[in-house]
Amino acid sequence: MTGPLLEVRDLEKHFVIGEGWLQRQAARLRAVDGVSFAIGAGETLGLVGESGCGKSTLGRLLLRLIEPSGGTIRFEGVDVTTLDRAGLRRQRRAMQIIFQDPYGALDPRMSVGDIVGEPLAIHAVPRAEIPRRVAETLELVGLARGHAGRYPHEFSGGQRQRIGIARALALRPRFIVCDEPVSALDVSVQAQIVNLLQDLQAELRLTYLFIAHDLAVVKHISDRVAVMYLGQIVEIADKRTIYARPLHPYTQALIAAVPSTRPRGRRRERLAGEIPSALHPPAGCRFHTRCPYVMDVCREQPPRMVAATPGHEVACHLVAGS
Amino acid sequence: MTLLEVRGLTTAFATGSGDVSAIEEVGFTVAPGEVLGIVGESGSGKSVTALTIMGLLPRPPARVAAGSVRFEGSELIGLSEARMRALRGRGIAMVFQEPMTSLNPVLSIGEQVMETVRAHERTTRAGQRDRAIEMLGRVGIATPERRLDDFPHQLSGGMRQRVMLAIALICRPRLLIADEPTTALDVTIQAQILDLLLDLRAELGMAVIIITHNMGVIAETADRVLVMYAGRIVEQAPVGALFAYPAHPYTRGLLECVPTLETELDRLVAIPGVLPDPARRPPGCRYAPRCPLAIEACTRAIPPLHRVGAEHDAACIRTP
Repeated sequence: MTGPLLEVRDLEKHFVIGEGWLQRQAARLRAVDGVSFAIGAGETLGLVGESGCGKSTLGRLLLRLIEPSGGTIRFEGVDVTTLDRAGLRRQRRAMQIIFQDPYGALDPRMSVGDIVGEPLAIHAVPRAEIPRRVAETLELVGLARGHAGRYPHEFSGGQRQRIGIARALALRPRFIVCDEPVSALDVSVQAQIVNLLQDLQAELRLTYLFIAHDLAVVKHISDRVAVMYLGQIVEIADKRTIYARPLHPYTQALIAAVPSTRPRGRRRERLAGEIPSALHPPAGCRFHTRCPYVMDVCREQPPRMVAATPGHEVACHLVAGS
Repeated sequence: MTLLEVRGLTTAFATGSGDVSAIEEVGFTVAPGEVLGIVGESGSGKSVTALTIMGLLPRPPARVAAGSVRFEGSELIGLSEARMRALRGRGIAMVFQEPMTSLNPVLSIGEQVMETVRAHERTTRAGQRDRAIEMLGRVGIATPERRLDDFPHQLSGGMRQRVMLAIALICRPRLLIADEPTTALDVTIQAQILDLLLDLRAELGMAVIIITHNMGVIAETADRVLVMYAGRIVEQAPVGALFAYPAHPYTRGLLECVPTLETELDRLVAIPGVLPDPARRPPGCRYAPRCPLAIEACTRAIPPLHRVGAEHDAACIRTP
């Protein structure tokens, strides 16, 4: 592998918000707080974590759909964070996103052909060529050419997600952020979309950041997995390692909380409490308020990311101390 | 002894193009203290089944076209709204998927718990308050006496679902119907709420109907399971048998199409096609257009449930 396709360093997004509607006191919501990782060409990095951990914000930052507060995003060596409008537009040909909600993400008044053709028109593809490219893309995602003249409400949830995927693929990007692409779908339809994403990856040599809260789906589709908690990545490793030997107590708890499909499976240790507010994250290790193994040092010092084994990085004092 | 007995229940909705049945010929029983799981996807009729039992569907457009619901021996279909209201809460209670829309945003949570006590029992305000504090504590809300004045928007999703459970359980119902109670919650919070539900079941000796699309939730909680597809029960079995010997091709499809942490596959086994539109259901077996085993005979008549094992029924002519 000749360097990663995407390399993120110390990425931050702090939202400044008024705290209380009378106090007018500014507070900082650290949605993404010092995140670094890399994704190799053709790889799928899974990103898991619970609501509010910052995983969706992170996905949008990579495409600069929202502006980062700090850090760098290098895509094929180009620092995306410093691009001007024109440069960013060129870059978006290579980087696209698929959203969770296929209902909300499609304009109900636009035909499928217009939805999938819109990115082509924006990127100055000659008008005469657009219908052919739209038809090719629809067939790529398992829809028919004839669907171009129809409207989103005429399609089922799974088919609407195919339309969303077709729109993302229209410009033949190399990298796609998949933000919970199957969580709004019925389970019998989820597998169709997961299989489609894998087929497209093989056929078009795509690289994915696959964001989801479903640990089993992420395990299935990913090569490596990163776990986020309160704006930070706490553990990252190849999928076999992270599911078989999770080192961070949060990763362990997440995996233990997934209901087993073996009836009356073990009733395991449960993680107590809830995710603290990102407005007032705990000092030291952010997980210390819920961690069953908390030590004094955890309350004071944020743990640094260390490599437990090559490629398996974790931010936990238990591991750092060993 | 049977706590709840549902027989031949058919609920139809009036639409612009005539009546559409949301559920058809649904029948099952629930024993005291038992946990019955109902699993299905959109349009399976699992929520309509629950709402019909509770008498909570708006009439019109909804109408119970046939069947009976007996709770502790008394018929609920056709019961007056006043009698039904007296039963809800004390006899049967229900919690829903989205606790934010089920709670009243302008009333404190203490007031909402106390309101339920007031509706069913004669007690003083101080008595109601004590009961509310006790119940909120039982569902795992720390320092409940200090949370009584909180409003729903001040609570997290998991805390709101705990408040909903407190409201549902405060009059000690014999049956709790939980409709996707953890679907809106994160996985660590889901695990907490499911544990709590099972603990309270044991503590209060109530029966539970848990409705979900998640086979993992079924495996962890249910004693017996109904599988619904397009408005009909396609399989029912004790939980162990359902997972070990699923008899209906749809049940097998549901179990195979979901990746699990325990298995590793290169490719998921997808169920082809889409869920049928309730107004345009296929003739014969509703699963036939998606079923790998379908033969011509499957499209001729709706297959009845037949016995395939101990307490295990399936509605499939291809299953011996």
